[in-house]
Order: sequence, then C-alpha cells, then structure tokens
Amino acid sequence: MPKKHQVDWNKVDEFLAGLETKETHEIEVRREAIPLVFVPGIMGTHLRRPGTNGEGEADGFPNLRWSTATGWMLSNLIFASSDGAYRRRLIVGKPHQTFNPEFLEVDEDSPPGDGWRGIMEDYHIFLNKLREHDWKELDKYFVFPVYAVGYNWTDDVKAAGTYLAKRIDSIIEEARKITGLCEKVILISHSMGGLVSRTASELCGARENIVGIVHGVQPVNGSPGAYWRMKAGFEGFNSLGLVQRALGNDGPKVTAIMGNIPGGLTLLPNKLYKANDGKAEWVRVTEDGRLLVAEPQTNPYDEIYRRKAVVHPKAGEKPSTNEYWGLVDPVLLNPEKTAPEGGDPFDEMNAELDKSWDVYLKNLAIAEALHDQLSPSTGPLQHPQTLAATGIQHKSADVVEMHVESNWIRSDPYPNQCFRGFFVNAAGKDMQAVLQDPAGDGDGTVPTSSGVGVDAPNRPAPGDIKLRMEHQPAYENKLMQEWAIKAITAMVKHRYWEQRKPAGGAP
Amino acid sequence: MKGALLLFAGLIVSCAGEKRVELKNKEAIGRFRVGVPDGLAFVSRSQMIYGVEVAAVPEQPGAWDAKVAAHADKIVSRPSLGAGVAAFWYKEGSDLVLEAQALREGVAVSIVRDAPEGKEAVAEKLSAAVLENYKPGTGAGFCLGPGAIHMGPSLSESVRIIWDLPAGAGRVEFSTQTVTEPDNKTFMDVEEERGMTGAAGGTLTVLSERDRTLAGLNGREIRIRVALPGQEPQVRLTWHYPGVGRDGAKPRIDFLAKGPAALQPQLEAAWEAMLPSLESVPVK
Repeated sequence: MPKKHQVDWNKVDEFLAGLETKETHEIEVRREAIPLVFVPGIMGTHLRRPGTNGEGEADGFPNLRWSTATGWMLSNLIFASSDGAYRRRLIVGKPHQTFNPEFLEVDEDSPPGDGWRGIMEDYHIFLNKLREHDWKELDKYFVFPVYAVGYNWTDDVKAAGTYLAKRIDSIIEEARKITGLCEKVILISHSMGGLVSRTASELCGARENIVGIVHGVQPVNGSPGAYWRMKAGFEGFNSLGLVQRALGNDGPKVTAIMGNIPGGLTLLPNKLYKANDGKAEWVRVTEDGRLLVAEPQTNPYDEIYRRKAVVHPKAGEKPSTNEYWGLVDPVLLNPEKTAPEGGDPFDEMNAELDKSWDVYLKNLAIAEALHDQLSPSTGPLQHPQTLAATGIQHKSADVVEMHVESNWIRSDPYPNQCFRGFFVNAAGKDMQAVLQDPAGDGDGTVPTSSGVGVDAPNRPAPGDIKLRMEHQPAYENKLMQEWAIKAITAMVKHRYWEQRKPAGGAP
Repeated sequence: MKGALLLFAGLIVSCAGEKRVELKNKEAIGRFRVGVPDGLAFVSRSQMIYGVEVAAVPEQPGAWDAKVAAHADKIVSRPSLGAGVAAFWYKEGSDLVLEAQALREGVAVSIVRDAPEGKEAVAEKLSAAVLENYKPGTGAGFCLGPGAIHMGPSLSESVRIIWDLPAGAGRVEFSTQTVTEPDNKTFMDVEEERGMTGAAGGTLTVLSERDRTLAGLNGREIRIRVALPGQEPQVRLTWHYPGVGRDGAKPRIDFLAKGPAALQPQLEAAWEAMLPSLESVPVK
C-alpha cells in the first residue's frame, strides 16, 4: 500500500521532506476552494419576521413579509388591498412603528447552508449554471462551491455589507473544513448587491478575503429611476416581470416602502452622479423648451431629497412656492395615519405628532453617509480586481424630465405610472408639470452613465462590458452568463498567478 | 356547497334590491356594522382613530401585567392618563411608544400611540381623550366590537377585520380608510392585474363586474379568477367604495373575499350573506 500524502496545489514545486526512499508514496494535490458568492439586488432576498420560520401569520399579515415566489406575490400583493398603507405595514410595521433594522430578517435556514433558499428563485437559473459549469483546467487546482448571501435590503447598506463580510468569513471557514484549503471568495453581484459587495470589501474589512468582484448592472452612482419610481411607480413601458409590477404602479405605493427604508434610498443618485450627457442636473422641468428647474447643481440631498414634494400650491399664493419636484410627498410616508390639515382639535394633535418626515430625513442621512463613504469625491471605491457589466439599449431614466402644461381641471397627481406637480406661475395661471417617460440609455433601471461607474481601462479579458440586456433578468441573459463565467475565470487565473508567481507556469 | 347552505341558511328579506340573509351575528367596526355568517372564524381586527391604534377586548386577568413585563427593559416612564388608566412609555428601536389600558365594564380598552421626543404630553392628551370617550355598546360612534369611541369622525381613521372560512384557505376581509381624495384605484384596475398575472405566465378571467350599492354607498363589485402555472387557481371577490375626501363617515371601503377556486361557492355564499348586511353606524 502506498503511503498517502496531501500537498496543497500551490506547493507542488516545493520539496517534500522526510519521504522514505523504499516506500511507495501517493501524493494527492489538494485543491483550493474558491466559493462563488452571489449577492442579489434589492427585493431579491426573502424577508421574514424574526422569531418565526416564515410560515403562518400574525395580526392578519404573513410572517414571510417579502418573497418573490409567485404564490406569495399573488396572495399578498395582487389579492390584497395592497395600497401604500398595506405595503408599509408589511415592510415597516404598524402605523406607530418606523424603520427598525430588527423588524425583518433574511428567510433562510439556520445555519444558512448555501444560502439559496433566501433569495429570489429566478437567480437559481444562473447559480445552477455556475454549479454545473465545467471549469476545465482550473478544476485541477480549484473547486467552486456556489453560495448566495441574501441580506435585509430594507436596512442600511453598511449593515448589509457587514453581514456579507461576516458571511464571507463563515463561508471560507466552512469550505476550509471540507477542502482543507480556502482563503478567498469571488463575489458576483446583481444591482444593489454591487453596492453591498463594495461596502463589504472596502468599508467592512472583507477586501483581503475576496479574490475579486464581478458586478452586473450595478447602480454605481445611483439611478434617477429610483426617483422616477417613487414619483410614479414602476414603469410599464419595459417588459417588467411579476416582481417589478407587484412593487407598485404608482408613487404612493412605492414611496410608502422606499421612503421608509434606508436601503431603498441608497439607490438614489449620489453626489457623483452625472446624466448620460455628462451634466450634473438630472431633474429637469421645462416649459416650451425653456428650463424652469434644473437640479441638483452639486448635492441632490440638499437640493432635491430634503425638499418636501408638496404637489398642490398653497391657496392664494402667486407664484406658488411648492417644490413638487422634491423626492417625497410627506403625506405618502405613513398614509394610514397622516392627517390632512383642517381637521378638529384632535386631528391637529395627530398632525402635531406626525414624525414621518423627520424619520424619512433620518433614513436619508443613513443613505447619504453610505454614499459619502463608498463614493467620495475622488470616485467610487472598489476592489482592485473588479469587472463590471452594464446593460444598454433599454429606455432608462438618466434624467427625469417634466413638461409644463396648462392645468384646467383638478386631477390626480399620482395616476398610474405618471406624476403631475401642480403650481401657479407668475402670471397667476394654474399649471402642471407632467412627468415624462424615461428616454435615456441603460438597462431600464440603471442608466449607462451610472452602470459604467466602476469601469476602468486595461482590465484583463473579458474586461468590462456593455450588453443589450434588461436590469432585473440580467443574469438570465445568455451573453451575460458567458461574460460572467469568463470574468470569474479571469479572477481565478489572477488567484493562480498570485500564488504561483515565484514558481511560474501557466494553468 | 352543502356546507355553505347550512352555514348561511337564514331569513331572506329584500331591501333596496339586495337579497338579504338576516344574520344573527353582527360585527361593528369603525363606522359600520356587518353581519357575519355562522362558521366564519374570526382572525384579527385593528382600528385606528386620530392616528391612535385602539382595541377593545374582554378583560383577561393578568394580560396587562404580562404586557408590562414583556416591555420591562424598554420602559422609560409611566405617565398618568387619568383615573383607572394604566400606561407606560417605552422605546422600540428609535420609536417612543405609549401603551395604555382602561378597564370598562369587563372590557379592556387599549391604545398604542407614538410621538416624537418632546411631544409626549400631546400624545398623552390625545390618547387619554380616546380612552375617555369609550362607551359600551355600538349604537353610535367609532366601533371597536363591544363598544365605541364617541369622537370625530377623524380625518385619519382606518379599520380592518378578517375572517376565515371554516375549511380550506378561504378568507373574507373588510377594511376602511379615510381619504383626502376618492380612491378610484384600489381593486379597480383589472387590466393592471391582468398584466401582472400575464407577466407570471398566468391568466386572469373576469367572472363579473358591476356597480353595487351597499348601505347607500355606490361601489364597484369585481369577481376574478386567476390561474398561474403550478398554482391552484384562485378567485377573488371585491367591492370597493372610493370614499369621500375628508369625510370620516364616508371612508374608502373594501370588502374582499379570496381563496382557491374550489372554494368559490362557499366564498360567494359568505359574500352574498355579508355584503347586503352592511350598514352605517351613526356618528353620534
């Protein structure tokens, strides 16, 4: 019987000391595990009430508070009243509750295992491709277990990044127990998962545990699409799937969720954002081609997000001063509880106690702090081994345009997939600024200018890429899948050379 | 169907064009009263007036003490809201929340209200007023079940009550919410829902759609059937009244019945028993 020995793949050139010459020896090369860790986009992780297993319900609401499973969507968004108040109760809690990071947790096993259960089923298509992929020569040196890390997307991205960094540690530990050799992972991100991945790497200390990050359709500097949807709902002009449609087809439905969670606000354009034409101002209100509003000049937080988007002018004010083009109409934040002006003394007390705008500002400050750290004025932080894919050739909101028209009749400011801001001009005429459909280039959600935010020249093949693909199903696109596998391969080769440089030799 | 007939058998009367099944059990919630067929199982209810979440349930010895104990490590103060009212403020995350309870003739009337820091006195005054204005009986006011709050109507009121069918996954809900403008969207956009269903590879069939007047309020009734791949077909029955802006006595109203298509007869039987029974409760 030969004596068995194990040698790590990256030490096969080293001398094996102490082998008896009269014995037969069998040397097994120990492969290195490089876990492929998929990080989903916003709303791509199933969330439940802590202390439950996601089954059953309490107070008439399901313990599984967010799922992309068709049955869940049908039951809770299509077959429920599903207005802003209902959605707020699902994601934030009862009317007296405001965002609390402990309100929801990822619906996953304990321990999470490969993490697939916690994420949107549509992602499994690509994850299975990764799991079944023949890595050819690389298989001699490496193994590639496929993991997913869902996260609480309602929470601060910093918290999600911290969670991801910890999961990377535990995945490495687990893989090491199985293979004996594992030091780093490769992250593959979708959309908001890109922000979470960069946060884990650059702000939460995980960089040294990461070979590289493959980004798909990341809103690097945010997207005016997030603003558009908070004003008008998820748009119907792209071929949206059930999930996106179920998110809400008007501003009140979307704002009741996104305006109440720091995670959602992180998708807004940051201070580095530029439209596809290179200009800083991405909210543009025009009348007969003449620019009436062009914001932001330097800081969207102060110049757009912190302005109350009051959609009707004050009575008698000429010209009116209501800034309908702000991000959030305060009355939409907690619609079940917010009292309009002019009630009885108890209504006035209720109005005096309304803190929903202050809570929104607090959540906004969390998003701003993350943006400032992750995307300082010097440019977006990123892992040194980064490859990014950007979706193009789908109409996207790189700017948000509103066109001013006369307003003869009182109408709804929040029709489905539209928004109207009402004002009185200097001549005393009632006017309305009507939101226009997005017309810029991008993936339908992220405009090209933001998608390419971490692109850089002279990257190893396959390099950064632009592909004709839509945002949500990006990883279901065959070309994207092929590119992602090439990008992973490039990173694994980088890992090979990192380990083999002294000895040389191509894989 | 046999079960449904047994459940909903009763005296049929005619009233304003609606065939009414006279139901013995009636539930008063918010500004309305609705008959409840025998066999429907109560699931949950919630009420809010002036932004104060309020409930009234039969007194259960020890329940308040258990609630206090559950919040013990978060309690920041115990204010006085009047004679016979127990109350405490606690911190939950960053929220400052007031819970209070008053015992009234064997009924525990409780409130939950949040406040920004520095505005605790306003919340206490408002909450105390809600508790003070509770009276047994549901002949008038904002109804909680055994009694009602005799205030308002407020510009911010909402209620929701849910029952389950005795067997299977059938459910009936009734909800109201005050509006600033009539709500012509909720449960009204079948084409949007058809689009959503289509996006998931399914089909939506409109079984019926008509105007229907309940309690003198002109609403829209829509019955649909949805079939999605790999899912049991479902039916949904809705009646939606858009409400009158800034009128607490005429909030948006939604009746909803839903469940597997196999339960359609039972759902429809409950529906036809309950809807004609809807009546307004006088404000005063």
